[in-house]
Amino acid sequence: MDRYDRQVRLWNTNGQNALSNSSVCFINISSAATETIKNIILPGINSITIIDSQSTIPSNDSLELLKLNNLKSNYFYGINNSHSFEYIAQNIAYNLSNLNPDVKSINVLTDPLQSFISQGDNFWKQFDCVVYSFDAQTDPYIDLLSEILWHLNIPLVKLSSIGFYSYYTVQFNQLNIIETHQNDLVDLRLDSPWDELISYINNIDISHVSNPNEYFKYPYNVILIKLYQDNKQKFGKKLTTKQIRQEIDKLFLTCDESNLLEAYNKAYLLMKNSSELSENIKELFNNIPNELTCDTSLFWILVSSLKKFYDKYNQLPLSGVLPDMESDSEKYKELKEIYRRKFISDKEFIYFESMQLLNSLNRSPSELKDNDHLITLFVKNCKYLKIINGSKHKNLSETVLKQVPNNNNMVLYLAFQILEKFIKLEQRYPNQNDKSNLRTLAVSYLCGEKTLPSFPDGLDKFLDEISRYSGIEIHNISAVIGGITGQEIIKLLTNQYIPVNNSLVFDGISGKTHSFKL
Amino acid sequence: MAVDSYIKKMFGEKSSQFADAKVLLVGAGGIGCELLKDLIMMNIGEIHVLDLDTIDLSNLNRQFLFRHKDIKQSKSKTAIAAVEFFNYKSKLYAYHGSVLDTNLFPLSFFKQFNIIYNALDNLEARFYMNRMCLYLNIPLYESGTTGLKGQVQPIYPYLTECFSCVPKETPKTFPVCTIRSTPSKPVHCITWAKDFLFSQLFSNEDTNTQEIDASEFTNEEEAEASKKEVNELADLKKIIANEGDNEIVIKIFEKIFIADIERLLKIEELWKSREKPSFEQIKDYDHFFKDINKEYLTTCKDQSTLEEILKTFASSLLRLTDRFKNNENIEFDKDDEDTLFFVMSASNIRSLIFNIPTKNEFDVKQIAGNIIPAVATTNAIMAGFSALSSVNYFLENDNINRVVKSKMVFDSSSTDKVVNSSKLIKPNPSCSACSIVKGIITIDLSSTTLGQLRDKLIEKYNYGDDVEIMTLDSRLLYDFDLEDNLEEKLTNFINDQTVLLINDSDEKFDLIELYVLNSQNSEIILPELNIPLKKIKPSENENDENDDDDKLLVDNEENNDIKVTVSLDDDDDLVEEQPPMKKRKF
Repeated sequence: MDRYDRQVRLWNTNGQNALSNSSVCFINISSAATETIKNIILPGINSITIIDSQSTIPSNDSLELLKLNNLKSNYFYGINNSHSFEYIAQNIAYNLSNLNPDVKSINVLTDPLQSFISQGDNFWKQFDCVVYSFDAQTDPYIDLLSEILWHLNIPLVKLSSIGFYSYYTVQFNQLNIIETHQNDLVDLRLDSPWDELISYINNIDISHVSNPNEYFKYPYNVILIKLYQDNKQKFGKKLTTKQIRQEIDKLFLTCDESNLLEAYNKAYLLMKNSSELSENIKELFNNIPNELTCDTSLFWILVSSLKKFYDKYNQLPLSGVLPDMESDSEKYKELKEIYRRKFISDKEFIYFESMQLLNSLNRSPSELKDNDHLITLFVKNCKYLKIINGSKHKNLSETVLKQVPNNNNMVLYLAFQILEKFIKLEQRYPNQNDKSNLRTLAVSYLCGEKTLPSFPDGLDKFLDEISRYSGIEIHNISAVIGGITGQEIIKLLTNQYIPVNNSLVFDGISGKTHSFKL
Repeated sequence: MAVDSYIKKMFGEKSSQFADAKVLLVGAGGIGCELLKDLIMMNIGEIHVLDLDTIDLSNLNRQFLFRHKDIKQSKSKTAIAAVEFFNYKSKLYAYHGSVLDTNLFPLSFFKQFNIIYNALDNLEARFYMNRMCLYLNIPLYESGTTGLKGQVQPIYPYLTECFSCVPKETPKTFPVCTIRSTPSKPVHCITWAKDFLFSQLFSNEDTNTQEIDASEFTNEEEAEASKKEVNELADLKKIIANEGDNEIVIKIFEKIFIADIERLLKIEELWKSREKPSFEQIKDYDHFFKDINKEYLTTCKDQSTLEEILKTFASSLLRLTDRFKNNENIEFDKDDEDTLFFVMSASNIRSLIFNIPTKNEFDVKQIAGNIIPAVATTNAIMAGFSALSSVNYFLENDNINRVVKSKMVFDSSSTDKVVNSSKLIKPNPSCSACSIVKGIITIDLSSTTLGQLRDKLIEKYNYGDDVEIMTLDSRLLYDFDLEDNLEEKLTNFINDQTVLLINDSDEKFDLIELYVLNSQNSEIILPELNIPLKKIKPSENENDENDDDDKLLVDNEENNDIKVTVSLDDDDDLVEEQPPMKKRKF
């Protein structure tokens, strides 16, 4: 684990475990795919499978020749090593395999893609993510694959890089992210303390302190809640941050009571309305399935319980996380214990509600009992949970045409669509002489969609540039898109952080990335 | 099949610009490994790689050129050996050493490069490279990552913002008295254990360098107590060096955790508004020190029981003592288990005394090691942008066009972009580094006196009356009060490869910086400089002389915000009068 020390600090042990239990399949090898593989091998993926049937002996096919040349201008294609490989993917797999001994295997499958597609779910469900690099031979089968993976809810990533341009898209059905890392999990609940905290606070008298030492017993949240509650009773209304600060000012005896200073600085936290739901959570609640069934995932069972909790208490469960605070450590420990107990009891509510739901669905209680860690994470993160609904790959090209007029950033993506059409038609990449051919193709493609009023701005520039590239992959561009794709795949596999949904283009000339949802 | 096929196809005749270039890569770590690969793929003529570090296990999750067998080897040399299997055309050179070391890397070393790529992990070296590039007017591609975040900044000296133009967030520091007398958070105890206790006991550096400044304490008694602690620690250091039995553990423990604390307890002033430290939680210590040995407990990383804490303290102390006696130069290193465990256990004992929560190995490592989360993907992205951005250097013929084409790149917090990019900004007119006119002076230090240098300066740059001469660390060598120094040879004050600051006593001309190259039997060769008039400081009229001294002090501390301040109103005028591009000839 020491090998992963620096990254475990980003996604914790559970994220690392998820990664080291994940298998990713790459359909067709390319520079961008190779860079991506490197970037997920290093952090410790379980295994990689590459499906690619091109042999190392160059044929006369122009696409095959181009692919070979592109790979040779790529770091992981060994030219000088003594091994002789029958397939190009084997060469690359060999050079990638010594990057990390923890990776179980890098398999190369050289049968054509269709033979694996015909095996259906059984073959594909072994993977946690599938990454496809555009290739004219295999492209006709990708819609079928997208259908299979959509139903298995396995993400399908598509990436491509040519010249200074590249793109990334991902298809997933739905993501349920518990650890979004949007915020730290501290939840002080200053504006609405619960019974146990109130009675603890009620036993404190900070208005008659004569020895500064006395103050130091109380961390800032106690001081703030105390002042807030006392004054609410006294005046019948809430105090503003400024008023609270004035109250704190009155308490100082020596001017350097560090916990009072902290209270002064944090007084604005009282203005937080802890019963208000974020947009994320509203969306989450709106997406709860109408009917829970045997197949409903544990996540949605837990969310249903979460909603019940909220409906009942007008609050979400407490995270139980307290920050470091200036305080006497005895008092700090007492307080931490109070917050922890509240977290435990809130978690129990979720647990028992969920258990009842499982019972009513005749499901096994072990689903919950064996997943205590997950429930803990769920409750601790419950304010920042997020669901993301994806869209199907199959429909993307229609969507892009509908959306392009409203979104300039998509024009580059549209150019890629036209490029891929060209390659499938001509069985070669466009070159300098194809500028007009590409434009003609673009017009006929766009005419198929009646809603498009005119030729999108900038499309001709992209197409001209693409024809200049003659299909060349630039390593630098592949390195960047391979870094981005690796990062996105890690988000998907660890189910942490919020991934791009669902497309991104990278223009290496302007140095800009844009993402959009198709 | 040649590697550069795409470079030729993409860039035609410009591709020779890549092949003719000579670049320096400073740092062969996370970004450095990626960048080396990317630069090789650009078919750069010569790539020189410089790093002072050796390889650690925790590098392997991202520094893809290194393997387990390479641990403890030089990063730069291993990186270059690792790419050998690849059919590259670039000539590669590795240097193992600190970029700050002017013996290894004098100014002339940097001068040979067309571009310098920074792939560093610390501010000090970044500021230093920034300064070197300013002296030599070499484009610098600066990059850095933290976890999933990162940025790339191309720096074209005097045309765009330099690394010092925007003040950098420096690591948080704590008041000395909090660390030494009144800790209240775990980080205080960890800082104490690492920066005070550990370095006092095991560092080879002279303990006198840690001289205590009484003014940093709230009262004299406290400063006195602290001073005593240091002296007694020096004695303990002798014990460590000369004795050797397990007595050491008890002696050191009772000194730092009993006697020193008792001394603090006597200073009543400290505990008026604070909880007093107490021995309650560690009172059974001798029980755990009865059978101690050098093997760590299997659960020592948890630090959840007094036994785990005390036995880890004893074992790590004994192990470090052995190493110390073998004349090993021990420095704190988060990846050196003995040093980490010592700091961890010592800080936890202190925490128990001060009633502060204890921390386990994972947390202590992060705090003590200033650990910055790091992952392969972010490094790949930022290195990619750094290399890509520098393509403009090779395609454009002059710096003005390069600046227009280049972009600064940084991570984006919004999910509709992975990165943001922005145009390069003009330099900050009050930057502590690039707003000061710089030049290189060649001089024979052993035969020239300070007076001769002063006279030459006044003559060459038409100073009205007199100058003040200082070193970069604000040591005053000469002003009208220090006439005695004038007869002294310069070797008594400065060395080759150091920087002198020259200030106009009349306050007419602005401060200038001269980089000193020592050359035997050479005349004094001063650079041609356009020294601008002093920027007007609105508040200056009311200030007395003391304030000026303060100002100079601050000027020379690069980490600080710049104090050659210009009021906002005057700002525009100044830009008009003095274009940000301050040409420097030499």
